Amino acid sequence: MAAAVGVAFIGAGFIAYMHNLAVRAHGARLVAMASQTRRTAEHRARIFGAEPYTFDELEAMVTRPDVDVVFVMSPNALHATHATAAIAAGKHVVIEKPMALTVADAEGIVAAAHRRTVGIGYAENQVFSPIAVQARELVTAGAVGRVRRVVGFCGHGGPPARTWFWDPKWAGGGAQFDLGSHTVATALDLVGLPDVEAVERARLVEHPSGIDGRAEAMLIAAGGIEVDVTSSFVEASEAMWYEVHGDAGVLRMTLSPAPFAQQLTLTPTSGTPRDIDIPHRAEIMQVSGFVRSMGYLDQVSHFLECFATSRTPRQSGADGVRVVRILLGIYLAAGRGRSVRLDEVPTDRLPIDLWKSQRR
Amino acid sequence: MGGTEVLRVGIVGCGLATQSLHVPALQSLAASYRIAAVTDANEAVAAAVAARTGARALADAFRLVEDPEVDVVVICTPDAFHLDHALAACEARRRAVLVEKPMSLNARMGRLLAETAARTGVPVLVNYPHVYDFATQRIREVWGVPGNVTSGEFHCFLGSNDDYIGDSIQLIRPPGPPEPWVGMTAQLDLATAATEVLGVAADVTAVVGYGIVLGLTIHDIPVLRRFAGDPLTVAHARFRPGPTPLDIVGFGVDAVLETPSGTLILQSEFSPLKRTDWGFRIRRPDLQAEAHFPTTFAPAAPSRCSVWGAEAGATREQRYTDFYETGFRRAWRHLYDVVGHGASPETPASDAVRDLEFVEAIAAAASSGRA
Repeated sequence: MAAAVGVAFIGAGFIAYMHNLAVRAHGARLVAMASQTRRTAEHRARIFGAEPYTFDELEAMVTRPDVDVVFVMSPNALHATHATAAIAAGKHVVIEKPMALTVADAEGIVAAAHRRTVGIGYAENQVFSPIAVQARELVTAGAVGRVRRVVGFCGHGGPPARTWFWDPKWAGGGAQFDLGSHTVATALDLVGLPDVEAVERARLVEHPSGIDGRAEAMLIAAGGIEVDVTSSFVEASEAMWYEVHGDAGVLRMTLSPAPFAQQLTLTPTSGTPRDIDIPHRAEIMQVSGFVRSMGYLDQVSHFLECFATSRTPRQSGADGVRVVRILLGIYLAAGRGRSVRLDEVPTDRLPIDLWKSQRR
Repeated sequence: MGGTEVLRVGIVGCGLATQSLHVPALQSLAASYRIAAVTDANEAVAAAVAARTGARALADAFRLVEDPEVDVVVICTPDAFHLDHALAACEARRRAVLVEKPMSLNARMGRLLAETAARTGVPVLVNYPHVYDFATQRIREVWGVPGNVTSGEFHCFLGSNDDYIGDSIQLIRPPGPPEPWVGMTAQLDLATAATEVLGVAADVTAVVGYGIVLGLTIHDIPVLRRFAGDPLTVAHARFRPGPTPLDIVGFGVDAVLETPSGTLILQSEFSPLKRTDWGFRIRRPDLQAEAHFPTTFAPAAPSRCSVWGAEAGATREQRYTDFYETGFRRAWRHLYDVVGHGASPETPASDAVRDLEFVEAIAAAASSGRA
């Protein structure tokens, strides 16, 4: 039997727990993890059973022969540097959302991986959740008829206090960039990934920290599909849901709080609502089933299988670039107070700057 | 001072146990201890506890454990951080470290502390108040060498600690609403440590159960071991989730442990009632004993015990109690003997690894349905 795939984490925050449980459930092995400070690295590495490194020691970690895949889940501003370091060491990378602060940085990661012939998995977990997979299949099969509109909402009470998420220098943006990367990617995925040409309008509400605390955006996708997404750090409790509106009905997917609140309901234009069975529902009382319900388990399995067989994952570097470009378009549209074509979006500017420098 | 040294205590973490248990115990032992420095994740809490105790408030736990004005350190941080601070205190060569139970989230992590304690030569004691409690100690004196148990029941049905704290102290709590990510991270730490032992396919209720065994049953495990001796095995265990399966209130854990001579039953539960039913009964052919512990958080009440034996053709019943003693006070008195007089630690980290192995064995048996 081949040795278990060896994984290393760059970043040791909240999301590292989810990926660690998924890595375990898949049967891969976390061998090392890095954090900004030695104390945090040692603290989490002891709990996870891995070797600790600091960000200053990344070279030593990513060149370990027992590391096959590197997960990049450091602060957003470090994704490009960290992903590039892992790629340079010849390792496949899984990169947390958003992929980078600028389009140019995200494209640079893709180019580096192409040159080194390693794979990129873009860690948009939501689209791998069994409920989202089921929802997409229904939409593809015509359950709501011709799609007119997709609505998405991802909100919670905000990231942990006094962390990099609240600092534009590290985060690049706020609710729209962090949660909005989910809202945009998943809304588009549910309706078959139509091309997005323009951001019709966007409104960002500034939080006292300087980032956007709440964001609403309307995108126009190919076929005239309206994509209406809201992302928020100012909710009393976590909620994540999507609706696909078509000429034959509405499909509503409640994703979070997972797993108990998950529900998939199809309401035909003329007819009564019908709850749809969610795959793997029987597992939700298991830890691995909880991790699967939010997409993390099938995501890791898919990425590791693709890396092993040199296939392009369903969420790859190109998907990460596309989402960053749309998000930057939203910040620009919010700043200008009018619609923006995506080909107008500067490739070298940060989200927060596109918003604030244009705002008057 | 009559030749007695007053040890300077550094307190890492100023939550419930520190304010209502360690501080009163230390203040009652003023001839032996002075609270020199305190720290807490919340600076306002650290400052208030410092003001109450005359200690210095330090902003950083790792600074405190290295402070040259501190002799011994007590670690009362959230469970997932016990190891970090205890390891740092060993590296700083403190004269002794008292770490709240559980010393770590599983046995693998516990071995790190035991190894570091051995390498640095720093005595690391785990605070198991019922090992140190008067009733346990008195029965052990009568019992003698561990073993020959025919049967016994160890039980802990404990009402919410919060209900008692108001009776014993005006608790200083952090201002503002609780940070939700702190609680969520603590749950994920537990899930990570538990699934390392139980497997990631374990039921979510098994993670809650693991938390009960690690947080509550662990009080009784070292007490039980001190009577049962070796070998001791887990024959059966079961989680009893309450009406709300993921809520710790109403969640029970039952276990059956076997020794070569008999069977022990171990039960723990966070009770919805404000009542403490905590103690044990233990029997061998020539001796029976029973202990009752008061609620941990109303430390004015003493523990008490009864012992029965044969004497002159009749049964002799003896009852013992000790007015002003608590497990916490006795743990501190013992630690003073360790530091000052070279006494052998009663609950060293090396032995507490065994307690964590029983935590894992009980949780694994309850999770899998197998011994």
